[in-house]
Amino acid sequence: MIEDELLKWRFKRSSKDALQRIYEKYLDYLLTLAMALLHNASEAEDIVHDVFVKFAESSADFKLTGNLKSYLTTCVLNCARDKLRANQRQSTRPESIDSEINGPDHMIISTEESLRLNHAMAQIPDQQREVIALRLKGKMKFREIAKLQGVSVNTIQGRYRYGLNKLRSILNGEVEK
Amino acid sequence: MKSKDNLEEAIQKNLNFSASTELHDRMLNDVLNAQEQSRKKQSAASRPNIRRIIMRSPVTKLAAAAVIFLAAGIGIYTLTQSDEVHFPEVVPPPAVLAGPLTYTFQDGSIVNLADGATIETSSEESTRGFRHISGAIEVTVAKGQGDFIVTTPYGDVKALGTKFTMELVDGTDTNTQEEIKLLAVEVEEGSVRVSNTKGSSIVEASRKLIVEPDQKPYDYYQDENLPARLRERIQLMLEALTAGDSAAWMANYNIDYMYKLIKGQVEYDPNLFGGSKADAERLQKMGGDISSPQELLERFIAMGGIKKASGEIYVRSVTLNENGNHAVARCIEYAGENHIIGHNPQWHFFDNDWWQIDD
Repeated sequence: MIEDELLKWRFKRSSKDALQRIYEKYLDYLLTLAMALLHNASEAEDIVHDVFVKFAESSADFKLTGNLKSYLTTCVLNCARDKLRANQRQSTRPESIDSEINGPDHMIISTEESLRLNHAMAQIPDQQREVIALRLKGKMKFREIAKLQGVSVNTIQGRYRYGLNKLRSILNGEVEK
Repeated sequence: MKSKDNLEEAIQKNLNFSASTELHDRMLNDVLNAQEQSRKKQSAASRPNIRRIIMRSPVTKLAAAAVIFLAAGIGIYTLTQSDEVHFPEVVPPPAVLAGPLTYTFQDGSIVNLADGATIETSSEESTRGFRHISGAIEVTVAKGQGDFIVTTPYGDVKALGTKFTMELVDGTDTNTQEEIKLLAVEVEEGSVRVSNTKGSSIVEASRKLIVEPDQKPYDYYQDENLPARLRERIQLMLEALTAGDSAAWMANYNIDYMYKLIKGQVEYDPNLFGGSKADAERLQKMGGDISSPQELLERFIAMGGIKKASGEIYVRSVTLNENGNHAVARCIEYAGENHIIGHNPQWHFFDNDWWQIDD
């Protein structure tokens, strides 16, 4: 938290080093979050890119008093929701993450276990996936997620529980095959 | 994936994606370019005016030179973040300082920042004070030079020639998961006035005051709704816990009543004994051989007594019932963000005195 306060202060004064440090610190976390939400490597890469670029452009007017990680998390979440809505409108299906990641460019690096978990995550409803990703990867409290989704804490806890149950049955099904 | 816990752990630990070197470098290049372009736009828009203003008068030329000198000082500090770097002996522009660090202001006032504490200094020369961002700090204010004000998210602390400590608590109660956010102010010498939109209170030497978000500053010792003897009992409990003094702690309990309860000479009454009926029955079985109140006290101390508080104890509120004979306090034991434990001690008025009945 203290490091982030210093980084925010230096970033507001257009420090290149501070921006680079923020980028290094949160890049992989935001990519992981975007992958969990979108299960599509090129879309995840695009939104993380856009979030960082817009963040970089905002340094002169930057007035964040809250938590830097939460701010970046919310930016990625909003972009991911926009992307999902756009995909639904255009009835486009996301490409397979496996082909993206294991393709010739290898832009996003992952393990087999990570791909397996993410593949299972892709099969549960968006709202449940969002709660699980924010809770387990973003380390957010249920109360904070409830605020983001605009529903009660009980609803969030329900989505979390149902999502995990569904994930478990998907993963157990894989093992049985 | 046999259990829910394993699945949660698997996602936390194993669901990870990272950027390839190529992606990392390409994106970083775009991000830094975006910042540079944005900076140039800002700079192009404002540079002519700034330059004209600076060059118009010799005074502002000197001031500009001073700012460049100070910026160099701050730059060195923020890059190294070392407590060995000395700041120039003048009022700096806004700067975030992180502990452990001792900082001396131009007027001679001193702030000690504990590890984890941060403050932001003020750029206005006419204002004495700073912004308290996080952690524990100790402030010694130089006397006789006007107001010295420390601003915090929950209220302002105006020093009236004094030495005091401030701690911003931000964490979660280990037991209840309640989110705890508060400012604790403790005065060593002199006094301070703590104010926010809900109210204002003066804290004298040796007193502690708590401010929570959107609540008026609270010091149970100044709470006129509470009987003086009750306030004294609360103070004695805090002193006993802080010192780990079992005898002093037990002196707040009505030992005669407890002895009678153990001996079955009085009925269990939840207002007079903080535990459950089952607890009281267990005590009766364990203490059957105790022959006097004094022996009960000695037995308790011999068994290890109370544990010394592991950190500061802050009293967040004390609520008195309608009859004015029963009080419950909300306290936390605070020893860092990862060690916040809530306590709800209770007191009841009986046998002509206020007695603690639960911790």
